[in-house]
Amino acid sequence: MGTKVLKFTRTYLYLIPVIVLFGIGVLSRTATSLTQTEVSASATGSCKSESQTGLIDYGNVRAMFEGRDLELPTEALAEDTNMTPVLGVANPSDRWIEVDLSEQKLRAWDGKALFLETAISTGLSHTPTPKGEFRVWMKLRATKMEGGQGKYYYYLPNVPYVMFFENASVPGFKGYGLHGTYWHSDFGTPRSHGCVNLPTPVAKELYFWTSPVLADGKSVVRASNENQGTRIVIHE
Amino acid sequence: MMTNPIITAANTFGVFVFVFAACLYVYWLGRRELVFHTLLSVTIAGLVTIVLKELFLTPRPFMATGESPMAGLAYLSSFPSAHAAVAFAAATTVALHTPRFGLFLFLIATLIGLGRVAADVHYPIDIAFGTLVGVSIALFFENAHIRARKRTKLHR
Repeated sequence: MGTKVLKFTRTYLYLIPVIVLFGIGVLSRTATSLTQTEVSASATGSCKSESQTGLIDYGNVRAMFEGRDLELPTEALAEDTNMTPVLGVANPSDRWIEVDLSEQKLRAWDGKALFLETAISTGLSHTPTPKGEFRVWMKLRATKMEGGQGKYYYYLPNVPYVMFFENASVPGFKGYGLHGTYWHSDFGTPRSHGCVNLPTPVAKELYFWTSPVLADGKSVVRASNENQGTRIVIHE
Repeated sequence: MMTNPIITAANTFGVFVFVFAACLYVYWLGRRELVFHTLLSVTIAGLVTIVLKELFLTPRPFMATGESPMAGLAYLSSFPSAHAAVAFAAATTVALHTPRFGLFLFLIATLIGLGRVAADVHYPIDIAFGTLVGVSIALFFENAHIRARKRTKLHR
């Protein structure tokens, strides 16, 4: 009888490593979810903004990204002096933006003429950038983005020149957009949580090139029937 | 790093070929029961590691470097490695019955683990713990099976 019990338990002894790992996993998961409550937005993989005033928050100049603590460059905080919408050859409604995920390139088209081309960083494999045809629905001069879990945690105040886009299947609240990037410069390789990361100077140009057209001195604009957003096509 | 489609495919799907080939050889040896046994260990080891991945949620090494990895099937969390768990579960199960072929399988399983590290989709610690999970699950099923068989013989 005694040996039978021993043999019975010995079989299950082999499961101890698995059970211990499982226990550690549950504990660590509980610990992270207790310490970070504001993760719901990022879990779906996007870069939702926290504020919609579009104003630069000069008191908030420290950022966290992938475990690194960094200070905002002056570029991201610079005042835009005398910026008026860039007038191209074509009608603003002929303007559109092409995002090529496989090439990691963005091209801005003025009708058939190329306005600019740049290397970009789109979503990583676990937080992909959505594909399809979109329109810009809101532009913000600056906004705070926060989310991610554990090592992925990011806190990015004053993300510059944000152009959020949406379509029928990817609604605006999901928080996908084009924006300037001060926390890395690996353009040409996927790096983001779903947004399209642009070099800040390029983001600035696009910000004033795209519609909805920004009123003078304002730092936020939403698209409307009279002031429609620029078309964005994202493809493989 | 150079991207070679053959290496990428080997790092991604090599483990399936490995399990399939091992089962085929064991079947050819006439050990049909061992085939089921291997497949059971492999399936459970894979499922358990997926659950563990969901719990730990660690980023893959290629996400830190920003370079594209040389292997697919890297959408889930990094820790622990399901590839290593599956490969070692198969190798352990087979080794318990046919030691020489099993030793050979252990070598290949180690290669699969090293390949995942070289491809930048796993840290060495993921492989180590994946191996631990695979081996323990294989040993558990082996022992549970022996016990069950003894019991049925007793009743017969």
